Amino acid sequence: MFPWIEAFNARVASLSFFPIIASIHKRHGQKLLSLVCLLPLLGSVAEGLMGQLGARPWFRAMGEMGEIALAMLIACLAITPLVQAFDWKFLYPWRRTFGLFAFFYAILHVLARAMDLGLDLGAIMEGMFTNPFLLTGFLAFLVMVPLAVTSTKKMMATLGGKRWRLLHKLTYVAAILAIAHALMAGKAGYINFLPQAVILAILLLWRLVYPTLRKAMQKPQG
Amino acid sequence: MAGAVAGVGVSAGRASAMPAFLERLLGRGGSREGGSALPVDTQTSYEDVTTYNNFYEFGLGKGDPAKHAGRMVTRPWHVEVSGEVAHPGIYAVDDLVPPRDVVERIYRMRCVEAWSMVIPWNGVPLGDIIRRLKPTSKAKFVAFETLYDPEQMPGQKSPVLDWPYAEGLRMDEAMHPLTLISTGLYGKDLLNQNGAPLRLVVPWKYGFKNIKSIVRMHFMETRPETAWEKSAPHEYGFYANVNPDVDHPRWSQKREHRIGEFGQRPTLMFNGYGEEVASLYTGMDLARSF
Repeated sequence: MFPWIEAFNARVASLSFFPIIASIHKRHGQKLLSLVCLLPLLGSVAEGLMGQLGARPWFRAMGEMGEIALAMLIACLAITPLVQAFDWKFLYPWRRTFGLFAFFYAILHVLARAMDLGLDLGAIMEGMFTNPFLLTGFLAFLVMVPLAVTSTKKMMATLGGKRWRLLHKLTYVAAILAIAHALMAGKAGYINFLPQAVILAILLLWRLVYPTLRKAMQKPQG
Repeated sequence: MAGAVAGVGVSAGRASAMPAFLERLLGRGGSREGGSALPVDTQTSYEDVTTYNNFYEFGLGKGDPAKHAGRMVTRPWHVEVSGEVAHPGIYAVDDLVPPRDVVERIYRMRCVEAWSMVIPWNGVPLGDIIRRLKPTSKAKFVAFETLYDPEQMPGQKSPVLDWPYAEGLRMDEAMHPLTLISTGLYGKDLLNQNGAPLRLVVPWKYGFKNIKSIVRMHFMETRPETAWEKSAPHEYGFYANVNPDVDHPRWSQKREHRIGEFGQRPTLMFNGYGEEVASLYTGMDLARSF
């Protein structure tokens, strides 16, 4: 989009070791990325096994898993703007990985909460549909289910690209619900998740602004 | 009133065959042992009492106060007494809270975030302190303030609350024999993360009423504004009595997680101190005056 980015990309592509990196990425990129995405879970499990999760281990684990789920969702939504701004098309397949891991960590978040509440169904369900804090979290989780289910190539083919893309715009809804949920967590409220909220707002605004931006950038070149 | 004034059936922590990490994750269990209708209250470990804290002056994380509070200098320490009182002035801690008057009180502590502990405090009943200061007939409330010093309390550099931390009690609450100014716990001097050198303990109210590291007591005729009330008046009230029937707008207050146990236990009205304190609130609508 910007001339200096083209120059930068060309420079990187001309580096001597670039073909090696590119080929590793092509053959193992997804596996490596998945391993990286598993690291936060391994970290929490290690903390748990060492008794380092503190006085309320399940509550802490719930918070950690929720934060990672939100981070994965943000990473997923960052891909398209990064490709559009920097022309890094190699990032596209990362979107699905981040999206699936967001769902994976959301499941762990829900399970940790169930453990925190002593697997007491009454306590788990209380306020789920009436309390905005719980309801937004529950809906964010619910919205991610069809996205995860239709994440395979086969489902994409079955649905057809157009319908699939429309369905996957639900990612925006999931992200908005998730950040609303996060902002309502904690005694002091919004303050804990302000950075995530700002980044998410930028990523969503980008999608509104980008078509106009692209047109404006293309005009001078005829 | 001596030692176990609170009517808490306390049993000491017992040895367990479980590995430490499993005991952490699954709790000590058997909270209803002995066939009693109410779960037994076991003293929370010194480690948990001193490492799981809310003291936003030192950070928002529960482990932050234990990590960062060490830099606070707590001796010498003075408390300014002002307002509607016959003996205003600047008092050294030992003059205001004489060490020879210190008693032990084992109280439940219920945080507004729905977790709780059982803590053996050492301190002096606030009523005894106030009687010596002789409030005037106009004194209807007493307001407290925490130290304000962003150099020692780095959390005060962020605008989470309107610093300094402020709390207050109605005079009859302050004079109630259960209300304590604590200078220690488990027989040791308070650690900074627990609010050294002196902090308030009002066992029938949510933990945030228990203002830490107090530097000011002001007697006044009108109700003082408190830090949490200022920050979110619809969520945190002046009274902040533990009440399972009045939920926090964002979470239930019906149950609580007792630190060290697995799962939840029911929250008791006035944190189980209703027999002693319910009469203070006769005729009040506790859903409105929360």
